[in-house]
Amino acid sequence: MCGKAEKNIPVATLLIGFLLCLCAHCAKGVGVQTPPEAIGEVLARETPALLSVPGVVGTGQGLCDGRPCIYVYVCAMTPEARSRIPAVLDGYRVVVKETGEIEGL
Amino acid sequence: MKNLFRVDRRVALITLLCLFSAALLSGGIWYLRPGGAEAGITKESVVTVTGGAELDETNPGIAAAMSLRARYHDTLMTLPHVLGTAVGLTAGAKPAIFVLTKEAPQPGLIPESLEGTPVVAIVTGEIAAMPASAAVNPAGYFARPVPTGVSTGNIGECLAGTISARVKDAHGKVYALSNNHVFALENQAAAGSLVVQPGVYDTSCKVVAADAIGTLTAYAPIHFATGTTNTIDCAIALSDTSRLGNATPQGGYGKPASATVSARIGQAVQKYGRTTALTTGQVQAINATVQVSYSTGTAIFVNQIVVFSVGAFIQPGDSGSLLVTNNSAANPVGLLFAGNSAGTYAIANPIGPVLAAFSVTIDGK
Repeated sequence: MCGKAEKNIPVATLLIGFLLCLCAHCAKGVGVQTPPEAIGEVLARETPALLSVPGVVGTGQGLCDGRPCIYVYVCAMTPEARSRIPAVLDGYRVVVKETGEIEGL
Repeated sequence: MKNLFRVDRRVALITLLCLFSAALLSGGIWYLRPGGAEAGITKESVVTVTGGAELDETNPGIAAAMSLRARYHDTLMTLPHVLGTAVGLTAGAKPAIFVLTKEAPQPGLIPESLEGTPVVAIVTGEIAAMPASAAVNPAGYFARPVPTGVSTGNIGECLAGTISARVKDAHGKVYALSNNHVFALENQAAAGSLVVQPGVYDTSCKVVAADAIGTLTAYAPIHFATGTTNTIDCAIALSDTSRLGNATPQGGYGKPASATVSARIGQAVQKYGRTTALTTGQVQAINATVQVSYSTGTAIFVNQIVVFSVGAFIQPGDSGSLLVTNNSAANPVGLLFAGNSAGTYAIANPIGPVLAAFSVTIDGK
């Protein structure tokens, strides 16, 4: 179910990713603006879209450098996951963690 | 003056038993000691001469030896290398005073007899407190009442999970808590079916009804259908305090607190479970939504706790482990049920909704 992470990411994908990040930074002003909405609400609203990205197995609320941030857990880091998971959501930093599949143990 | 040497019989018996156990625990020395009249006294010969009968202080010979030992104990303890005294039997089955020594005594140092009762020197070597046993295997069988944090499961399937905790209801009834997928087999087990310790997987898939510690009382169904979400994967089995204890085995955190706390990001946590025993980690995220794979299918869980650890925090068989704070209070935080294959990410239900589902509380300290 959980595919292996692709090792060779095309340069174009990286470039697009980089540009997307840059755009996100410009638009949201990371670390400058105070997020207008509570993180719980952002998470609740954005989680269905995030879970629809192939490979995403979960989301959660954490702390990054003392500030609330959003964790996105992925089965494997695929180019699709890379390009479709934003770096920032409504002012909250998004951190992607590769966990593999989550199973009942 | 004589009264000073009078020892209460119970105290004497306890001393005797302690010293005797210490001598036994010192292990093998009885067999190894070369030469000497007492070299013939082995654990076997003691058993042989008594013909399997157990002698206690009601035996007049033993009682006499005990009072003699009590009177001479202080004097004997002043001799070089003497570590203790006890009462036992000689190779010829006569009640005797045992003098435990660190090394072989000088000939003639220890009298051969005291007031007609034989004295036997036993070289035990240094006697130290035994280190805590490292051999506790949470996957094995435990004497009743069983500890928490050890192997369990429904009798209907070859699997093993972990007993989370002992919980109690308003009427004082006690239950074993674990996951639905451990006790209720992902909604498939019948109410009243047996819950065993160890889980059937740990008896080589052999079903042993005598291993029962309770019967399945209730479970929170896991919803697998698309569009449905879950918060808890839990079940309880009716038990009693003669079959179910409320502390982990030695080497664990012991009894959890009865008072629960909410998970906080960055909180230091620990768990004791069937496969990896005691491990520690940190709450990385709360309010988590996680897609969890079961044998039946995939289920979405919301409002979960994500625990991260650099090493394996959880492995298959640890499901059901209670997540508690990593301090002496050991306040319950969550009920562990899932994780990744490396065991570095673990998912726990918040403990509040778990307990509320059955109207129970943690039966801890």
